[in-house]
Amino acid sequence: MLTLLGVAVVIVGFAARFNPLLVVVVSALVTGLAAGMRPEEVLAAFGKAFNENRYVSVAWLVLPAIGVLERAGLQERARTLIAGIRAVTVGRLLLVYMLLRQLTAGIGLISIAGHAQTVKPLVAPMAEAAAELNDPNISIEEREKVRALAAATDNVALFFGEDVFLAIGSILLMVGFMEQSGIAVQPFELSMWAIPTAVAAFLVHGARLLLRDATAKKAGAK
Amino acid sequence: MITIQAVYLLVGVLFVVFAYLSVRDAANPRRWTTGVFWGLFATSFLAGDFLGDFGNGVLVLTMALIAGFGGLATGKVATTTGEERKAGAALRGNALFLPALIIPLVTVVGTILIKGIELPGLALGPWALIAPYFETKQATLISLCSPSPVSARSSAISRRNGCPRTTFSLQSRSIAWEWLRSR
Repeated sequence: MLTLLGVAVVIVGFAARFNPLLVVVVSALVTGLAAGMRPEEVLAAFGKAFNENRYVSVAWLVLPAIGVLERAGLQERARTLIAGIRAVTVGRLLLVYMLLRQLTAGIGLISIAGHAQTVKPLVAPMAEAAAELNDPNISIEEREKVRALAAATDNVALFFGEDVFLAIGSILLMVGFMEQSGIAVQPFELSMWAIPTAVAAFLVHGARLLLRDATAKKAGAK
Repeated sequence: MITIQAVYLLVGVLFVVFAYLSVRDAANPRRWTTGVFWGLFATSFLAGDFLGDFGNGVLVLTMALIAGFGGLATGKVATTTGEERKAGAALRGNALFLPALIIPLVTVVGTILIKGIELPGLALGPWALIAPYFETKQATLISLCSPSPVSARSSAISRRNGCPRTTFSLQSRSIAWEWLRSR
């Protein structure tokens, strides 16, 4: 039971807004030590896992290409494009993005979008432009909120979209975990039942997006 | 055969460039620690399999300590001004979106060609002759990396935009998965 101390460290650490990196490392150390491992064993286990999971950092390769485009005015162009569409609002724009992201993630296309590839260079500037249409004197804080909402929409859509796809880590994890508890499930069954969850997530986050439009409109009318 | 190792080599070289540019940036108040961070990241990609578990542990701990205690900073990055960007956007128009859209497009097409399609109730094999030349397990990642032009000049910009936190949180998430799965 003591091994769960690491979880407490993560919760307290994030709540107290410590640097996430330190929180994760401290939590790993606490978990390992609580499980009776020697410090050097913990470090070795951590090193092994880090090395085996290097592939998650491969998306960095996309950044130079995005950097060149931003240098040439990609964000500015994205803004201009959105500013030309009258019907667009932050909520509607992000709703469309969310739907596309969930659908593509649901068929396993997880790496085609993301914070580095699509949110920062395209979606966030577009959402900002949409917010400017509603309120030309938008404050810096409100701008930051719109950007954060764009990033959050990507998170929610990916999280509740990828499980619909069979061959994803989380599905395999659940299958393995339930197998150990003596419950045999097929990956297909799990991914099928991820669909109602995905729909619910779309409705909940979608409602949140549209509510944001309504409040922003009210604030803008004042 | 193109495996994930080739991709790791590419990422490693990219991070070496990041490290070099960081150290050279005199305007960066933390240029040495920033350089060491990227150097260690590069080492992980280029030589991670030869360091041993403990060696990798020391490497990741050092990286975490550098980043955790504010050792990462950016200096002055050579880039365009807001006016230049507006002019660039006006000049190039929607053509600017093309490279950004090519990345996901090549990823999708590459994944399908190398790996085939797996949908519930539908499994199609690889569609093309190129498949044998790629490692199918990591098809999506290899495809994601194939169209990205890497230039030293541009990496300075992306370095400024990049936030290692995201990578680390992703990494810790998958580490947690691995750990749970191994139980």
